[in-house]
Amino acid sequence: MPGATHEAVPAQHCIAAVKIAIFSDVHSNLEALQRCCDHAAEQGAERYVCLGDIIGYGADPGPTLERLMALPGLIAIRGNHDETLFRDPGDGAPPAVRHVLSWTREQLSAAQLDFLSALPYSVQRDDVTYVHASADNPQNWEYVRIAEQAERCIHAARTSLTFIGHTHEPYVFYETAGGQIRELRPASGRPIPLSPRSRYLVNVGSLGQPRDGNASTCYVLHNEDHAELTFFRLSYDFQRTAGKIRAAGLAPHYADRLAVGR
Amino acid sequence: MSATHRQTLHEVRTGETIDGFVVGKLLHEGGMARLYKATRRGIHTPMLMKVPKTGAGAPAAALPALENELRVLQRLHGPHVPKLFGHGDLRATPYIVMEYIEGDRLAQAVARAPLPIAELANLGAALCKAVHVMHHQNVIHLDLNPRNVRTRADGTMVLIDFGIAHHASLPDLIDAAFGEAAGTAAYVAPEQVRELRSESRSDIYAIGVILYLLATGRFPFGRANLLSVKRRLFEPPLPPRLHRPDLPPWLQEVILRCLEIRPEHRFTTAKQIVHALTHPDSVHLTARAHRVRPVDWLTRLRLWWRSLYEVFDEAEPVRPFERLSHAPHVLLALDLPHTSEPLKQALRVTVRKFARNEPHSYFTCLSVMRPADRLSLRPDEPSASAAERIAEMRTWAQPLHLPPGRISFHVAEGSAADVISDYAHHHVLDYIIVGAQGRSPMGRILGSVSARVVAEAPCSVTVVRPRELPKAREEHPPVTKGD
Repeated sequence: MPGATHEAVPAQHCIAAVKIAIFSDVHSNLEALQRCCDHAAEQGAERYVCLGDIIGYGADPGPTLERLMALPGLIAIRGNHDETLFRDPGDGAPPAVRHVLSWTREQLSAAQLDFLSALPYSVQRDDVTYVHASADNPQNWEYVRIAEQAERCIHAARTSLTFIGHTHEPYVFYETAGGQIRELRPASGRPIPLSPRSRYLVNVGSLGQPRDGNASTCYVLHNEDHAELTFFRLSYDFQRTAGKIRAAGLAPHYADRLAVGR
Repeated sequence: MSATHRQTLHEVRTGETIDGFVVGKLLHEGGMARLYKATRRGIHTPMLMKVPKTGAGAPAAALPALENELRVLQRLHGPHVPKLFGHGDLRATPYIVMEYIEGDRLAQAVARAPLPIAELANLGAALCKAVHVMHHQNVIHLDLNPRNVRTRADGTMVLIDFGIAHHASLPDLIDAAFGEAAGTAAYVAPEQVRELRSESRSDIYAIGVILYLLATGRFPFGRANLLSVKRRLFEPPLPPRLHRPDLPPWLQEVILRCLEIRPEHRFTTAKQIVHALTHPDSVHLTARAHRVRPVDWLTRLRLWWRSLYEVFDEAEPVRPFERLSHAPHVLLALDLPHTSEPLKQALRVTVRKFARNEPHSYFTCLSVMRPADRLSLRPDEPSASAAERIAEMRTWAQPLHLPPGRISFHVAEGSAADVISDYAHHHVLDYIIVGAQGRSPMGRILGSVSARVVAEAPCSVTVVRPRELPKAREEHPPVTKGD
């Protein structure tokens, strides 16, 4: 599989960036992507990071990829959904998943398919790691939910800051000077300071399929200059997104769950 | 931060100018940091620069404490904390510059202890007010002691040194296991000894130690040492009246309630202590108030045994300000001489619902008299009609069966809306319950008291009106659907 490597970003990307918008699990939700990118631009975001699972569930894979690929300074990571596009999902996969995958494949241009197939499992830039599921064996698609898993991920990353997605639930795990792992549930719009003496694992939640009981879309703004992060939860037109999913004949519960965020 | 980082840090000293701040003379050198006077063109407020020790032999906790203090101060505001003026890059030149508050009335008072009761109550109430406002902003201090409390010229207490404070919506990087959260031994609560950092009632315990000290001139567990720190887990302190027999029972009740081993047996909020210190009559006396001897050996043995498996629960997800709303102070504005029987009943129903839903709520009944209502000419003695008003309120409240600690009665003079509004601001009330004014022509001319209270109150107001039954109207007989 070409490009499926752990990459270090070329030097020209390392010019001092101040504000970076980071999101994950877009799942072909064009309305939510539009909302977050507009908001991030207003906040002064200069670069964008997508932590994978760009496709799946939603009815707008083509337009979503088009919008995404045009974002300035984009770093995009491979997610499990992106990978199954090029692989047989196995006999255990539910019919709805097989259907949305084959349907999505038909919607994408050759260039878009090339882009997806070349996505790296993780990217390390300065003291930051970007990965979809866990820095500890990214290919295993582990769901990091508890402190022990977070600790393994933080240690495997060997950077002060690691951004992940995959579980669709926003949270921050951090390590104290004595090596304790603690958790913080972030509040929207409230900056979280990053200390030079701690290490952080940040789950940016899901932009396109939130599942923490809050239907709002979600992204994180990383202000490198001020060493702080801000989670943003924003309302968007999920009715429109849901309508498109139903109209495309995809599984109706992909549409229904958008309204409840479950 | 690692040793290699540490060497690159610059320690600011007297005579330097940094980010526009001119570093003046050294005011104080503590274990963790040095404090300098600081000035800057255009700023006339006296300023203090705190510089953590970073050289060889400096404590590892110095930098984390400064960083923690900065994060917390950036999120606190109001007259009870020093204003923050600036800070250096924590990775290069760590320092913070804040307002310098010269007064240290509390520390001086401790040196003079035992204090007269009135002075103690004033100082204690001012301290508790500052702590309450801090808790309201989601911060737990965890190192309250007389040296960390400064005083403004008007008597306002200012809390300083947030080096090990806990902010409920920030990552908490202070690690007790790493030796960072020691606190000050004589003042730490039992659950702090067990390394719990999210309990706002730990600050209530420290307040108890300070009040004990002011009342008796002694620490509840003697001079701090390892044994005295452990002892507080299984031994109630000696009753202050043992040291000072003339101490009023109500004050001993307040102090010993602050010093309870289990947080849930202490006051829930600092504001409750303000109320107790300013309204001694409202303090409900229990067995604590009358103890004059150390607890018997059997109780000690029982408590010691319990301490072996004592578990202090992590207070998350309860944030300090959420807990404050669990013990609301409610004002009942009553004008009983002009209140109809149905309205009296409706007011009681409302209070009963409130008291049931909020088991820690407490109520002040306030009746406002016009100056002309007063019969007595001596201002220091409650006039006959004030006493009558209080008796009337007691009669009204009797069917509620609220214990004495949860309800108190108060008569004030002036224009009703002004008095209620002033009282609400002064006592930082959480709710006001007021009866709706009758639809009399007089009410319409003067404007309703309840409407003005609603408009001016600093908190939620419930206006109570008895259910008005629809009047049968002869000219419009009821129409049945479908006819």
